[in-house]
Amino acid sequence: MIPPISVESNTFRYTLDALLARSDDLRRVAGTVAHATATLGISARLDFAPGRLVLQLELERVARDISAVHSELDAVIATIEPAEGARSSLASVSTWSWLRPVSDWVVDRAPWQSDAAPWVPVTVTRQYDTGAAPRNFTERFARIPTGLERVRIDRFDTPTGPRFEVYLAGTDFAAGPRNPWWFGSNTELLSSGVSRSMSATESALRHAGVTGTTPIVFTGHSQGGSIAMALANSGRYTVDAVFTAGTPAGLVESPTDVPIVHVVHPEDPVPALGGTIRGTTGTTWIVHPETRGTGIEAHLARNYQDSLARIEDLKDPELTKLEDRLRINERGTAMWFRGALSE
Amino acid sequence: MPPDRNCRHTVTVISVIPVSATDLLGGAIADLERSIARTGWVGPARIAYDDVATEFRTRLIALVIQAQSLS
Repeated sequence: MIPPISVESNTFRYTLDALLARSDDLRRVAGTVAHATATLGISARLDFAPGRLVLQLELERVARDISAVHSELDAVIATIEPAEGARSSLASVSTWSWLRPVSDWVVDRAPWQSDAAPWVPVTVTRQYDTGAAPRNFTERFARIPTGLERVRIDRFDTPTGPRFEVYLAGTDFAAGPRNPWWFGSNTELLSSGVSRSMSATESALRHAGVTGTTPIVFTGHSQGGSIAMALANSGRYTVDAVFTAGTPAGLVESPTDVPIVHVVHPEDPVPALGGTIRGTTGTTWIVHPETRGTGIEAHLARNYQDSLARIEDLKDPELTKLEDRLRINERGTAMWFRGALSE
Repeated sequence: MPPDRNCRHTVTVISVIPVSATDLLGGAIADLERSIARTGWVGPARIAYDDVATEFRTRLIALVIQAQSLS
């Protein structure tokens, strides 16, 4: 099985091109070897030589093996291509032309944009000793809250000052517009680069003691990843890294000079909803979920959790280097937040 | 069945271009080398592909040597 694919540029097109080029190479090589085998077969029949027949059988075996790898590569391409198609069409002008008025309508009516409510208030629901800091992407992702709590912040007081790990949940599909993490926040992000969910996250950051100079690592699922990227790109925070999974990253500009790691299931439609990723930094991991579910199944956090564990198992040098650089040895305090707009 | 005297016979002349199996395999090896040397892709899948393509290349080189010794 082709293992998870890591791409240093942020586009699917790039991976697809690389795979297509190699698929062509293997097809051509398999064809040439088959031709050579046939040529050898003719000469072996014209001028009987047992050695040539043995060689012919060996060549047939190599041609079969090359064809098998070629078929496997084509199976991967066949799975990635639909996601690429969705991404390209959603990124096209024709799609945005009807989405943008919707976004503008939502933004015009966003109550948090009024002078009276510049910040979406949040409530701390729980707070206790978090124990050890997360060591890798998988452990960070496992700390993303579920349910009504949408933000968790871990504060670690280190010898060099406080450091923060921020975990952001995605869209609450059951929520209405009074919940900052409702679906409309995605269109707000697309239209204006800010959203009520982003504002609520900033309220939580302020409450936790984050300032413009305290180092933060963001980890987000789905919309949470887009919020992380928008905050990293705002220039208001010192962001050490952004980890996202299943995120429509193209909704916002990618920050520059910040290490970004995206993980995407090709079967998940949500990353494609963001259109093409804007920016050239970061690494995108394309990995098939263990269970080849499509649609919302491929978007679920628990399926991404499994895929992240598989990526960690690969011990990729670049990812390991980044995770080691972010290592915190101190114990910390965890805070959970929920937010709601008042009537 | 008696032969039909009125049937039309078509004779096709196949031009044979002499191509040796070793030349063809040499081309396949060169194709694999180019494929391995392609840039623009990193990560474990690239490594897996390169390992497989290198193995094919090694097997083909061994077979070319074998073919040359037979000719």
